Amino acid sequence: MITLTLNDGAVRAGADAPAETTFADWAAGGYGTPAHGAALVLANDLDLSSVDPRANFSLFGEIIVHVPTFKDGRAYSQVRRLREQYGFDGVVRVRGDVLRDQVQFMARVGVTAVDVADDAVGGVKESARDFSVFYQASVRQYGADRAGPIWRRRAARALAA
Amino acid sequence: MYRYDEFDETIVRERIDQFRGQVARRLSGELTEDQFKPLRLMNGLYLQLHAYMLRVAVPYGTLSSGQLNALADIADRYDKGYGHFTTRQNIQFNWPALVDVPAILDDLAAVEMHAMQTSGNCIRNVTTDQYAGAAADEIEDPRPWCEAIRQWSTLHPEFSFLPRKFKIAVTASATDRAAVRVHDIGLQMVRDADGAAGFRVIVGGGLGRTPYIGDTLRDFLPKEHLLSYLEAILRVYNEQGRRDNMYKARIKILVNALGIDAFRNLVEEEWGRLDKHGVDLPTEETARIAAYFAPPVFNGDAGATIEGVAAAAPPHERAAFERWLKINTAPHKTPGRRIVNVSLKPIGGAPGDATSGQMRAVAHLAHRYGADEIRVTHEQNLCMPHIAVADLPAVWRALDAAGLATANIALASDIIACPGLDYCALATARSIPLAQQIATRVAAREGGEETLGELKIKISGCVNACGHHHVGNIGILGVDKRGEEFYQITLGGSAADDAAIGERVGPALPTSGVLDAVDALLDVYQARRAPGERFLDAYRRLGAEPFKEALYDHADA
Repeated sequence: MITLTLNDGAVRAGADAPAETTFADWAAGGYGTPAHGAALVLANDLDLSSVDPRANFSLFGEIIVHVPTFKDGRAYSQVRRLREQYGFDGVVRVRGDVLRDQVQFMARVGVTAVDVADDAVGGVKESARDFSVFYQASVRQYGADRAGPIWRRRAARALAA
Repeated sequence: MYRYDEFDETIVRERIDQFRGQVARRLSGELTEDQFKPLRLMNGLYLQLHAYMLRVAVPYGTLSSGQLNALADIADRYDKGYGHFTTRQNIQFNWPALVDVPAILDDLAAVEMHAMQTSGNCIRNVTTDQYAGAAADEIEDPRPWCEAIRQWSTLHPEFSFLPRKFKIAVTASATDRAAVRVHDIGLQMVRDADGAAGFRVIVGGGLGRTPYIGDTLRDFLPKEHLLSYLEAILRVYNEQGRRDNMYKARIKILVNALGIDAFRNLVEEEWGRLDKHGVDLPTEETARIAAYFAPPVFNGDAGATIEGVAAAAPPHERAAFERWLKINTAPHKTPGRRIVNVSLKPIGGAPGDATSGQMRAVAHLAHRYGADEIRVTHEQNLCMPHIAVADLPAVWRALDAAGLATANIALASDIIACPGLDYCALATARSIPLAQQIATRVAAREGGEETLGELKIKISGCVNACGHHHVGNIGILGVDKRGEEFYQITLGGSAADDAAIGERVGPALPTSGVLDAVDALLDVYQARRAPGERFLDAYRRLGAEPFKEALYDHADA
C-alpha cells in the first residue's frame, strides 16, 4: 500500500506514513497537543456535526478517514465538515475500500491523499480526471476544480459577454 | 424546454466515457460484479430476470418530439420495438445487450438525454406535475426548479453513496399530481403572507415495505434557498441514515425514529451553518434556466371550446369523441388550449408500454400540434400539454388510429402496475397479466367504467411497492404462498393531496379470486355511494366493513 497525493501525483511509501492517534484517544487525553507529526484517525461512524470545542483539528498536519466499504458514503460528509466547518487545512487521507471511480468525488469534498495498492496508481490517477466540469462547487481547489462550478462559470461568461 | 449548453453536454459525454471504461474493466475481470453493480446501477443498468434493463432518465417527465423519436429508434435498434414508461416518469428498455449500452448512451446524448442516476443509492430523477406550465392553478412553472435540482444532484460529490435511493418530487399546484407526500422529499410551491413564492418542504414519505406519509419539515422555504436546504437535509441523512439494514435505510425510517421535530432541528442547524452562497444558484442562473420554460406562443383561436368542436364532429363519431374529450383532456391556463392525456392503458394491454410506432405517432402530433412537448406521467401515461382546442378532432383521430385514445384516464382501467415477475428479479408475483385482466373486467361492467368515476387501482408484484399499491384506492400486492401467487388487497389509499396509506382488509386471495373481489368491491360502491361520490370518498365515509364483508363473503362462496 502506498499513499498517492492527488494534486501532484506524488507517492509516499507505506513505511514512511506518520504515527497515528485515534480520535477516541485524543478525546480521552483532553484534546491535547499530539506527538510531533502524528496523524489523527477518525472512525467512519464518528459524528462530526458537533465536537467538543476543545477539539482543534489544526493541531494535526494529517487526518485519516476510513471507508469500511465503498458503498458507505459517510466519509464524504466527514471530510467536508473537516474542511468547511472546522477549517482544517492539512492533509486529508482516505483509506479502506475505495474504488478508483470514487477518487474524483473524494478530491472534490476535500480529500488530498488516498491509500492505494502499488499497482493501482495509474488507474486511480486516470479516474481522478474523469470529469472536467462540475455542477457543484468543490470544497477546496486542490487541483480538482480550479474553474469553479458550472453555474459560476456561466454567470462569469454572461457578465463578460 | 431546457436545452444543454456545452457544460451539460460535456458532463454527459464524460459520463459515457467513464461508463465505457467501467464496462471494459468489468469485461476484463478487473471489476467484480459486486463492484460493478453500484457503478452500472448509477447509470441505470439493471440485471433482470432474463436480460439487462436500461432505465433512461426523462428529467421531470419532459420530452421533445425529437427525443421521443430517438427513444423509438433505440427501441427498434437495440430492443424489441417497444419501451416501458415508469412511475418515475422514465422509460425502460427491457432487452439491451451489455455491449450495446455505451452506444445507446451515445444515441441518447445526441438528443440531450442520459441514464444517469436512474438507479443506485443516489438522488434519482426528480419528478413533477405532468401539467406543469399548463395547469391553471399553478403558482409558477415548477420545471426550472426541477432542472436546478437535476443539475445540483447530478454527480454530487458528497451524496452519491447514500444509505439508500433518494427520490424528490415537486408540484406547484394545490392539486397534487406528483404524489409529493410519498417521496423522500416532496416540494410544494406555496406563497407566503407577502405573496412571495417558495416551497413547503415535506420529508420522509415513501412506499416500499414500510409506507409513510411525509411530514412537513418547513412550511415555507424562500425559493432561492432551495438547493442549500436540500443540501442540509441530504447531509443529515447521509450521516445519520441507517446503513446496517437496507430495509431500514430510507430517510423515512430516520425521520420516524428521531421524530419530525428532532429531525427538523438537525436540518435547520445544518442549514444555518452551511455556506449557502456556495450552493444556492445566483439569480442570473435561475433566470437563465427559467427562460427555457417560457410558455409557448399561442396564435390559435382563443374562443374555441370543447363543446364547439364536439358539436361539429360527424354524428357517427361524436359520442366517442365527446367521451374522450371529457375523460382524457383537461383545462389549460390559456383560453383556446387544452391538455391532452395519451392513455398507455389500452384495455388488456401492458400498462405503460408503448411501441416505437406509437412513440413516433405521439412525437409527430406534439411536433405538429403541441409546441413540440410531451410529458410522461407518474401514472405511466403520456401527455401533450399544449394542444389548441381547434386541433382536438385531428389529434383524437390520429391517437385513435395509433391505439392511444382509450378514454380511461383516472378511471378503473388506468392501472399502475410494476413489471412484476414477467421481468423483475425481485418480484414474487406477476403484475401485468393481472392488470390486463382487471382492466378487461372493469371495462366490461354494465354502463362501462365511466359510471364508476375516478378510481385508482395500483398493483405491485412484491413488497418493494413499485406499483404504488399502498396509495391505490384499491391496492393489490402480489405475495408468494408456497410457490403460488396470491394477492393482498388494501383499500382507501391515495397519493394525492388527501394522501393516505391503504388498509389491509383481510387474507390474500388466489389469482382466480381477485377479479371477482374487484367486482364485489365495485358492487358495494355502486350500491351505497352518494350522488357524485368517488370510490375513495365513499370508502372513507362508509368505512372498511361493508367492503370487507362483500370481499370475504364472496371469496367464501
